[in-house]
Amino acid sequence: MDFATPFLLTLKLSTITTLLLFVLGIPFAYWLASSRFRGKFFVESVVALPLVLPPTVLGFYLLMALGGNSFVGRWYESVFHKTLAFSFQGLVVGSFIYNLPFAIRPFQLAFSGVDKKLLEASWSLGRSKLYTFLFVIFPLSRQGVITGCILSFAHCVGEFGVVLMIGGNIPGITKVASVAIYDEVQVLNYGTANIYAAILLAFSFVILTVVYFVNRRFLLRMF
Amino acid sequence: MIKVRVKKTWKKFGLDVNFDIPHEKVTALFGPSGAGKSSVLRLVSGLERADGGMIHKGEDVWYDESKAINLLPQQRSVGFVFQDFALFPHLTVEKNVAYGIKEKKRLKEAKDLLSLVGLSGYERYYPGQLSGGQKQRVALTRALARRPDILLLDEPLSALDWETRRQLQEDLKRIIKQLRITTLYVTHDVTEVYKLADYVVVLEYGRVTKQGTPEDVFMGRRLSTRIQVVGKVVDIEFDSIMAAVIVLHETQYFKTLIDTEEVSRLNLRIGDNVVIGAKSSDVILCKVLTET
Repeated sequence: MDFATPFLLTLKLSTITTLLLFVLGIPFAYWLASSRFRGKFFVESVVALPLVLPPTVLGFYLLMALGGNSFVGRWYESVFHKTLAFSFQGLVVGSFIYNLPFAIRPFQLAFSGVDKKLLEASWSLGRSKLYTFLFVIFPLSRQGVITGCILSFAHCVGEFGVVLMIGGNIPGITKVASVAIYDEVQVLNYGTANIYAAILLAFSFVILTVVYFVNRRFLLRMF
Repeated sequence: MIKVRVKKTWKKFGLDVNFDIPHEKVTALFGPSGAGKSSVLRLVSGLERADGGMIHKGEDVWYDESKAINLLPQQRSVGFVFQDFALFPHLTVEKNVAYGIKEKKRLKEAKDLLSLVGLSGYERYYPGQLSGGQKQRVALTRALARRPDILLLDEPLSALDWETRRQLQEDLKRIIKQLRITTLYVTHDVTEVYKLADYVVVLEYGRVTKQGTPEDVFMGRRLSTRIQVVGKVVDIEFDSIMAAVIVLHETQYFKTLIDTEEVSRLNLRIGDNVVIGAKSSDVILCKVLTET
């Protein structure tokens, strides 16, 4: 197997997951930040679950939910004529759910941190809620949005349990860098494992250093 | 004219007011803090919804509980000026002022407004680079720029120091008169009422207790009486109640201090007529001796 393939797969998975989290997570986080819905704490707990759950537990249930016997799995198979489990698309779904708290929390925190007076000023100036979001809330939340994206990207690079449960280790399809390390160790190929591990270590460290350097104060309030 | 008849109950406070805001005049909403002045402003602007009553602007209905009508703030054409300015920190002065403007031709007017408040040359500055007084001028310009039907000012000068406040009072008066815009001005400062308002609505504990011109509201009947001062009986005549700062307050006794700085700032000379005002809630009534 090509040495770089697991890395390229990792980058592809992380990029797609982060983009999805950005596109879908931002409206969702805005809803969480602005809603007065009473059951909000419940939704927030569900979003935060991946923070505390063993990845294997999450992976197991996702496998059940996406597998060929499940409703989602059967529907996917009937539309796309292939299984969702043990495919790259299945990995994206799993990563998306697993990384939700890493994107949603910083987004939500940033949105709810914008002074309510500014929103009222905008409304009283005749601007809709959508306009207010795009031109006041979002620009003032840049820091939180960037943090959320970088954190979920980095976390996605490092995930292992969920990926292995849902995707297995099919080379070129679901075998990402973290899984590749495990495989190399299994066959006592410590040299290659070491190179993969060192690259991941350096990558993660650089990303975290950048995030912490960019906004030290913001992160303290987050978890 | 805007008719305001609204009720709203919160956990610990109830509001029930009934007053009119005359067209192209400045109406002051005056009262002690906690009287519900800001809440009235929020109800008029639509930022908060009342429990009952109505707000009519001429023929237009902004709010009517019986007809289940409640226009959003976006639909009401108000210009709201907040106590703490609420400028958008990420936008320049120019962009802040243009924020509510939807037609391009109005942008030119916004520029003229900026020079009217003495801020031309500051277009590219960010709010963080401005002084308190300048910020409030920007906030005022922003609220005026979209030509609202009514300008709502929520204690706009209270976050500013004395000198800036005095200067801005003059400017506000000039600008509001020049643009002939209907204004509702929340304040707890009598001086501001006298300087700016054509009408005053006095609010206490969530109710309107008096309304009229500032003279009607603040001046009592001309009184002529005898009082005892340090053992001597004196005849006095007076037109108004007295304003001062309370420096000592005990159960049956208080000591006040008239702001002598104010006296020197007004450049008073012997023979000048002056009026002293006081908040009625700050005055304790004592029985007057008329006979020796």
